[in-house]
Amino acid sequence: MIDKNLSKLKNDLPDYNIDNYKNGIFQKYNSKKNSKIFHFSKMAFALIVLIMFIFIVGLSTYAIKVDAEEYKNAVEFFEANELSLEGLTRYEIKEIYTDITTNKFKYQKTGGVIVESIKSKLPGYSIEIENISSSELNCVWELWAKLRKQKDISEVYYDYVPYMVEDNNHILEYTKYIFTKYESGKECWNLDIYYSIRGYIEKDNCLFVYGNQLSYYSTEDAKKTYITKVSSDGEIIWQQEFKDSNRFYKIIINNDNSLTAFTNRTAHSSYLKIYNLNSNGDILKSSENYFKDYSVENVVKLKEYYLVYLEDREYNTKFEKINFDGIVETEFSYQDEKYRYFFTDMIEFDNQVYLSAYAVPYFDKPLNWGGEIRSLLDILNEMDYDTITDEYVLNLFKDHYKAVLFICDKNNGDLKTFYTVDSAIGSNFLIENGNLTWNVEYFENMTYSVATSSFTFGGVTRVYNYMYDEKGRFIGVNKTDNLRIFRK
Amino acid sequence: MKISETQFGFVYKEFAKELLYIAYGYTRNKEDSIDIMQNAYVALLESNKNFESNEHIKYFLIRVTINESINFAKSYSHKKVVRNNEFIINYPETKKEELPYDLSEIVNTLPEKYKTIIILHYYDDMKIKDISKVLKISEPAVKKRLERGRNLIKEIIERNYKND
Repeated sequence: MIDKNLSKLKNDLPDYNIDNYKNGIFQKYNSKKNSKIFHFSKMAFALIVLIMFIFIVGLSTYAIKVDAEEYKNAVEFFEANELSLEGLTRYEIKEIYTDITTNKFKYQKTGGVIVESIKSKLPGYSIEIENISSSELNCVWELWAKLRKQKDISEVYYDYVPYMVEDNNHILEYTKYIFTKYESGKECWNLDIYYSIRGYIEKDNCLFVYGNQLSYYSTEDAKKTYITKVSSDGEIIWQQEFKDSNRFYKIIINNDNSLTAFTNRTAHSSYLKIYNLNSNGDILKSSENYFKDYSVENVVKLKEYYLVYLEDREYNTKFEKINFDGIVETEFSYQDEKYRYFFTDMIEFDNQVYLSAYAVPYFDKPLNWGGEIRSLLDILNEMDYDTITDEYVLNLFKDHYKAVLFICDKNNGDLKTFYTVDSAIGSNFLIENGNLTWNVEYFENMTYSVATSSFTFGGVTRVYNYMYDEKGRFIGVNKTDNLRIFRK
Repeated sequence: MKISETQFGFVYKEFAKELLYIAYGYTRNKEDSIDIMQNAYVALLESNKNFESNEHIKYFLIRVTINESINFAKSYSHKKVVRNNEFIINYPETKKEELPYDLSEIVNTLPEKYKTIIILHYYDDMKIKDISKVLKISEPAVKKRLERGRNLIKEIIERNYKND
């Protein structure tokens, strides 16, 4: 029965005219196809957007991660090198970190940070960083590295700063200098000095502070120079005034604590005034010599006479031998066809007089423009400025300079070349442990900068110690960590 | 599209009505059954299958129709709820008959596995052997389900309409 009834279900089916439905299939098919294409396009677009989003997010995440890592490294570097983070932005910290670690030293804030750190150990340390070259800043950085290692460098340190007040016309005026002793970074005492301090010498727990009359406008206006002996606890022991002078060429503290002072005549470097003072600062004797057309560049006291080194405007040099009564005994000079010589220090050691010098190739043009680097300037002026590399300039300097150590005949002044070092300049002498040390500065880097007002060439030299025994025999050379700024 | 235009014309002419009947068995609505049938052919056009024979195409179309119909039924019950909520009640079309019950509605209440076989067998006159091939189950299984379907219908009628 059920089966029969079910069979009747077919009778209830509606009438279908299948020819009417066929087109609908293709319409549906095409519509679905287009929809699929559109859907696929949408999906593809969405996928591209998604990929881009993931890429951007990924890139941003990576950049953030790298930035965080870089900043972390920078901060660790600052802490490890005892550099202050104060006042620096995150960006600046990273820039300074990169600047130092890549040895570029070109970022504008690097110098300030290093100098501030040095000041923390060396109160009063000052260097003009406005026009500092990258090589010079590298040198300052080396100094900071050295200071950090020498933890006791600031055990005792002296500093002097000018004290200015505003007068009724609102003009600032120097009224005094304040000389301060620091120990381990803490002030021990300070002393008012009523002249412009130019330096000090420490000997046997006493200080010999020296300078010239206070002058706001120029040292040239000063009419007097002064030496003040100060005890280790900051008390003035004595003070001596030297009239009609504004510059000390040199002050020598003799073994018996007597003094020899060499000054100019006010604003006139052709004059040499020699003063002999006893240990109480009293002037025992004085003399004055005039060297026409020459200026006094250096003077030393030897066992039997004074030796004065002079230079004229065209960089011609000569020596004057002056006895202890202030009378010129001998005059001599040294030059040859190949080189011009410039002397930097003189010393008597084991009955011999040694002269430190550097030589540059003889140049037949006057040197009153450009001096010893005249020939180098001529070469570089012919070149396209943009093509001049630091390496090229350094090589020029290395070829140009030669350090020379002379021995001077004490009687007639004859000079004999004793030692030469290529690519370097002869510097100062030291007597240590009975041996003579001749410091030679070897060129490490050099930059040519026509745009800098304070120098044309700026670079760094490294000091090498050339050592000689009491018989003048060469005993060795020592490469030091001492870097010096060289500017011309 | 793996099927040629000529072949499509043939399979459409041959199987369209069968599909409409099957779809109607599920939907009991002419328009819906046409829609389902068309969807089955669209599926054929979209298919990348290489059919061995027209018979395989037929089985493919029937299977798609059954699935589409079942899906439609599910979505229809959903639509019905929505429509009820909107107070627009649109009952499926039914033809008046002499029986005191709507047999097609009773068939529609059967579990899917019985309903499908009843529809294929009674709406489409499909033989046991063909149903077996379409549904990929054994012939005895088809017979058993068919028998079980009938019994269920009988039970429903006896339970609900014996007093009538």
